[in-house]
Amino acid sequence: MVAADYIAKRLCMCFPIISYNLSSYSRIVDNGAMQTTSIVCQKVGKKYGDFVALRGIDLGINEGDFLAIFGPNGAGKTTLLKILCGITRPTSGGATVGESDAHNPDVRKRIGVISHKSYLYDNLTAFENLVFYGEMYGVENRETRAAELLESVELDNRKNDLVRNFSRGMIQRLSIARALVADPAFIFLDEPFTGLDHHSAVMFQKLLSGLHRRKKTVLMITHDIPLGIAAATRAMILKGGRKVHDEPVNGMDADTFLKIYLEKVGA
Amino acid sequence: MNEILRTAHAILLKDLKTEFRSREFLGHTFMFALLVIVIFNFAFKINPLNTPELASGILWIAFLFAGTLGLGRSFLIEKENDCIQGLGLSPVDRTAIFIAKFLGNLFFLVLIQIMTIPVFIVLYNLNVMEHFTLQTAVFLLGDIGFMTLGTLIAAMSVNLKAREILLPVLLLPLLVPLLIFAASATAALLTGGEPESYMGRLKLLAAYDVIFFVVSALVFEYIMDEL
Repeated sequence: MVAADYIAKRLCMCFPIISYNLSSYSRIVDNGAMQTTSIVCQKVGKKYGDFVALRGIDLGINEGDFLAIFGPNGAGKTTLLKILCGITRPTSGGATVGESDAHNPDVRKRIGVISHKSYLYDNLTAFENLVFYGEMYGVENRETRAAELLESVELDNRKNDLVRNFSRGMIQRLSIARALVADPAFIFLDEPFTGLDHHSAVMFQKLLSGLHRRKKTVLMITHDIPLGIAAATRAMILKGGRKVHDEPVNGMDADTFLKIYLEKVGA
Repeated sequence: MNEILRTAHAILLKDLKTEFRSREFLGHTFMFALLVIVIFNFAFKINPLNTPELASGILWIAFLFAGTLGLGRSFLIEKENDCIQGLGLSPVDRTAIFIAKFLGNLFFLVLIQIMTIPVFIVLYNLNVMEHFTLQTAVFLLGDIGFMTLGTLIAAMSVNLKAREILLPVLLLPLLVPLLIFAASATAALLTGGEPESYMGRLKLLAAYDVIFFVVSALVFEYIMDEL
């Protein structure tokens, strides 16, 4: 948290436009009521045939936490995220999001997911994509909401352009706007930095810090230790479907965490 | 129910908008249906005596092949950028997604038929729409059954590596009863058969449609979980 705030302050000093966008973004995400929700996993296990993806994961995430999950390929990170999103059922154990079963369709209204896949339609404009997803989430005043979100991610001047003409960085910014269309309490991110150039990655990280400051509960899967550890308040490592590390970041630098990571995953 | 229809309407409009913008599907599918009709015209010795019997089979085979081509496309647009996951993550009822996909596929098949039938009439010198209302009913009932099962199988096969091959391999055997009822009803209308000869088949087509629509809508939720 300390590291994230430090980076945020430095960036706002260097790039006033980011500061402006964060302040406009804050207005958008601040329109909800105070949220006192959390995420709980109890002995969550998942098998795909003979392959065991998760082995009895216990996890509690408090409201406002920013948890970064690291681990090698096949560690079960994405499976855990899918279970929490309610799109995959655990083979054993259970998961609750905001005190409801994770597979309850109503829970989906409160979750925004950002992945390295954008979930955006190439042949729709940026504005049409947001309005469409607004409709899927039952958002009222979808056009107004879409316009606000496009402004917050600096894409209001490209609102009528087809997504297929966007750069990777622009797509990822629009993907953030898509995930926030229903003003969710929980933000889940799966490898969000994949394919982003440095500028876009820094801007993306800034938007994440902004989310966290608005008391959104954020859970992020990433291989990018420096960016992940700078943004998160808590870091977890999965290996072979087991939790092998789960501690607060407490201002830890990336190099220190990298040592812990290499020690835990045995690389 | 209103919520399901509202969501289905939004997904359908999105599908139509993206399809008309990309213009990838409609032109190619129409060309394919046209080619099937032309090739059969050369392959068979068509004469005024056998035309009504052969015509119904040729027409329905052209529709089945062209329609199957289009079915794969309906879920592939959702696979681009993993949009199917985006839809799955939203709180919408899965039945709404099925209804939207079904209606979109049905719309494009009817569009292909509207473009293909006039060409067929000219090429085979046979007015297949002489009994316009009844023939339209046969086409629509056949289309509904075809697209109901087709939408379900297309969803099931979208994640498979060999989906282009597996979709027709899985779908066409299930469509054999529908093809028999529809082609024989069309033939009965073309040969001026007794009402009993085609009304019974129309009823069978309607029963086939209802059964498979209900089953497909119920099963679709479980298929979405695996997408």
